[in-house]
Amino acid sequence: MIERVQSRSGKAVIKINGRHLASVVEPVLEARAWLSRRREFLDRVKTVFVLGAGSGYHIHELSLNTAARILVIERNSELCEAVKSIHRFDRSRIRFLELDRPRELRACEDVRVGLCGSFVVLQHAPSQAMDPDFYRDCLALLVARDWGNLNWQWQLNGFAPLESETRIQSQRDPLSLLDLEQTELVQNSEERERMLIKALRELLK
Amino acid sequence: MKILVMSLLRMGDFVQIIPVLNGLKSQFAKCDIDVLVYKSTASLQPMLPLVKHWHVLDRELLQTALGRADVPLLTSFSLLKEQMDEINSHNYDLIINLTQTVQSGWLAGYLEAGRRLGLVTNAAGQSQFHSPWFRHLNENLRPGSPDVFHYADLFFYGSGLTGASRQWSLRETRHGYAEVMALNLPPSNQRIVLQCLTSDVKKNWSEENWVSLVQRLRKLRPHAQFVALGSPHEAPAIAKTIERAAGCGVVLYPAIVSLEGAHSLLLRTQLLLTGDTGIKHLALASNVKIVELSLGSSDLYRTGAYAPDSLILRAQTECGPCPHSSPCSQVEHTCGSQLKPEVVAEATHLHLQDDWTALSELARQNTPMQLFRTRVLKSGFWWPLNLAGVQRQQTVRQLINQVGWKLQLGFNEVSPLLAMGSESLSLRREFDSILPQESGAELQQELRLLESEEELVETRAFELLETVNRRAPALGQIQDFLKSRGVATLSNDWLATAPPDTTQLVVNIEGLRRLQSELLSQGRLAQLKSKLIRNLRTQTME
Repeated sequence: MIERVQSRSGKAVIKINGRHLASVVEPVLEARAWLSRRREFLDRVKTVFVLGAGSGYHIHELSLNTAARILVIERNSELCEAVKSIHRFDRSRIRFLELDRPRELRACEDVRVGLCGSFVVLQHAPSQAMDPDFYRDCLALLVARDWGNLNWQWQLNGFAPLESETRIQSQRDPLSLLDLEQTELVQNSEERERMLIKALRELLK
Repeated sequence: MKILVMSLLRMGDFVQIIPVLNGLKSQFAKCDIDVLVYKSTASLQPMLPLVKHWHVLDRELLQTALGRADVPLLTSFSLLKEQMDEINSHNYDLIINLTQTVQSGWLAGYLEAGRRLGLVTNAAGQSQFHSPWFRHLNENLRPGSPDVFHYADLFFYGSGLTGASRQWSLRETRHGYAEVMALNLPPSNQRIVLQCLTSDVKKNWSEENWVSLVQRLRKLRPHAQFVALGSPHEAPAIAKTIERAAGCGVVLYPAIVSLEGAHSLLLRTQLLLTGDTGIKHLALASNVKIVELSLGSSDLYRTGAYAPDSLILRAQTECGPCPHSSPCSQVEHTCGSQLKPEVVAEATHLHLQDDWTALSELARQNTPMQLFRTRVLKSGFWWPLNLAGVQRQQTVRQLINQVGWKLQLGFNEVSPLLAMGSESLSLRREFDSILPQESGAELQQELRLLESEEELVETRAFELLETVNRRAPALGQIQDFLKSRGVATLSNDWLATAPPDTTQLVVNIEGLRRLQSELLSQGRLAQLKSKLIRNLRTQTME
């Protein structure tokens, strides 16, 4: 059940199943603090994915601090509507993606476009606590630290597949650039992209 | 014409290429010059209006993205690709890579241009230098060798520029000026600025030494004003030094400023004492006198203060210059502890008096410390002159070698035969200046000896080349020959392990090509040097 309660600062905060999705004291200050720990890529990437709509204050704060497109992933459509009623978001820049299952992300055109450029993923802990499995799977799909998701994202960018299925399923640890470097693309091909991966590899030495 | 210059190293390395930027602007009057630099270098932007666009690569951001599991694996790749594609959209006619690192080679390979100079690695992993100067740089990386070129010269000629003039101009900014005014330093025309800290602890002289130096300088120059320069992150350490100096009765003013502020301060300073390479290079854009303390990984022959009549002090140690990336290998910081504050103070005092005779005497009395006077030669090279005494044989050989390389490496720009006359004349004048005590007969004798040596080298190089061309290289003899010429390509594995003599067909084609190229290079160099010496001898007799 979704409720709107008033914080001490006078701002509306959403309460769902007895849990507040933002500070009941100062939701704006809390959102600023949340963002201050996540600023580093905001002025460089083209898309920011936000996992969880919360009470929307973190999204509002984010929108003030980046020119990037913002895609908010949220499972609860009722919550999305409640957040939109509190904040007047710029719809051309901020989109709410209401999904039942994480795999639906793959079919979503906004997501596919976002993944073809630079992006980061910001996690909103109170929202994630409501549905940890859902958000864990969404995060895995977006950060692509496994062969399946990495290969999907790689091909979305118009590049040839990275590896065979056997290799994709054999890996368990989160992938890093060092794994990408071991692929056929970087080892043996003459694709232009390998030059960028080789250049990035030098940054890790 | 649109030109992109890549300099993906530190701020000081970028300052060293300012003459290249100015030279390109002079050579191509209507060109636009853009640069690709790391973020740490971009702070120079307000001082360099001649650069139209600064492409700033955020190395730390890319590293962060690569190192954190919560950041998408492809974020760093996408960020880099977007930036490189944006650079490609500028449609550059010429890209010059003045970095010579593996990373910059890959990036230069990705970037598109009508013409490229410097290290470029293509998608197949093959590297090309597109200029014999850059190839020479890559093949002669042995640290500490005096038989090399200053990077500023090498980058200048490698960029296809000619002439001996180097312009180090930087614009003073309002921000820099305001920072200096805010320091409220008492007016002084005897201001001595100390850059005590560097980016590398191996290059740092101890706080105790700095304080001792200032104490001694205070006695020698009672009216001097001492200022400790540093960046904001160095403020706590500088405050400590100032406190310690105050305890010894010396006033040391703090100057915690940006690079713009540092430039403005140096424009109002009589002398800079520094161990830091970046500030040393920055000082070239002002008329300040420079005393450089060359410690740790500082390689004075490649990166020494590029201004005439600067003073460089260093301790001659077995381990120096050490590699940039590794910590000091000694039990104690030998190069720092052998540099005595009393000698540095005396040398600074004499330098302020332009008393090079007394400085030479000081150098002779204080081995293993070495004192160098920098010169910018008429032949278009920077040169550190050892004040303890000019070794005639060594100096003549090194200067002839420099010009020989210049004629050979600059072959595409200027025909060596056309340039020979003017180069030998410049060299002759340098000999007159550097070796003032020499009688013509002694120099003639030295030149005769050198000429016959070079003729032998030329003959031997072409003989050995003939064996390589016949696919029956006398490997042992080639190995000995190249070693005697100080050629670094001996690291070629199969050559190093080859039997002393063989007539077997060597199947390593890459190795054979390298040998051919090296022997041809040595033969031609000797040929050019012989001709140069003959010209010199004729001029000396005149």
